[in-house]
Amino acid sequence: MHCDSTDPADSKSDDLKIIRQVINGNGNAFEVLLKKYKQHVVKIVYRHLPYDQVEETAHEVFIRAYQSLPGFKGKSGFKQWLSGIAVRTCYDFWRKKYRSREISMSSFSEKHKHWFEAVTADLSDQTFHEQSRKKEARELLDRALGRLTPEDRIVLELVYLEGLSGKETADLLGWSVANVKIRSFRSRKKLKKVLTGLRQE
Amino acid sequence: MKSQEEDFKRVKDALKTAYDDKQKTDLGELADDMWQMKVMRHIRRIGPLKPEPVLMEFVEGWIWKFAPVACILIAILIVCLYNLDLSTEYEMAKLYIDDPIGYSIVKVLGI
Repeated sequence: MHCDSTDPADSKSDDLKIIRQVINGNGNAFEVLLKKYKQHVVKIVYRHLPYDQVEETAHEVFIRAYQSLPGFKGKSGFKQWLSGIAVRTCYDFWRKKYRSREISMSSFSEKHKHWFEAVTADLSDQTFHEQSRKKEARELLDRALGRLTPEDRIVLELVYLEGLSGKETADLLGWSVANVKIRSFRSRKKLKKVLTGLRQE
Repeated sequence: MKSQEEDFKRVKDALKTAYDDKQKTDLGELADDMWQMKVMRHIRRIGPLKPEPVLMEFVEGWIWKFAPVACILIAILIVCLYNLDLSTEYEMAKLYIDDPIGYSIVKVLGI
């Protein structure tokens, strides 16, 4: 889960004190927030992006957070607000790649097809879990996600892979709940089509 | 014979497990002290923030609350104007007859 709805009140009020200092001109105070939440942001970013892009994107997240601080209303905690910025930065990463056509539309290899056959065979639970943990599973997932639009990809990751509700996803992305629901339906259909295509190859 | 739906569900579950497993990777070496220094250096280059003016914040908060009232008032005004049966040509002609100098000024100013 990205958000922690049980943030202790002390932690929230500490964050607010620091945010006020930063807004009033003490930029160095931001380092306290940076140190406190950097691992949280790194975990979020790593869920959505390749390993080699995590540090640069996490850097971008904190810069955006710093620049947007005057607009922070404090309705939700700072951690939740920062989580939203992290998710939207990841989404922007894929949008940029998609626009510049940098995403490779590599086809599935033989090993991915073998993995697919192994998973759909009647396996014991243990063998099934072993298959799930193989490198091929992660590669196949990355390639399948790469065939979706950035909007479909981010919604699929948040709703189906992370199990967030439509409202939670909408809050993180700054979209309407209706938009998220339509996207999650479409993205699931598209993923099914991609995987069905693999089966038929 | 298993259906395609069952196959898709197994694949989906396996991919979800693969996605969850990714989270177990140790990320301790990422975002180290050097990285933190780099971010703070960038923030110092940006400089101090400009807080949002308090008045703007106040106005922004209240302006949208009056928007529905403003819309209703505009609708009432339109209905009233329609019912008053105002004719601009008639009013201009009346002005010309009653106050020719005033009419000339209005015409020059393009009102």
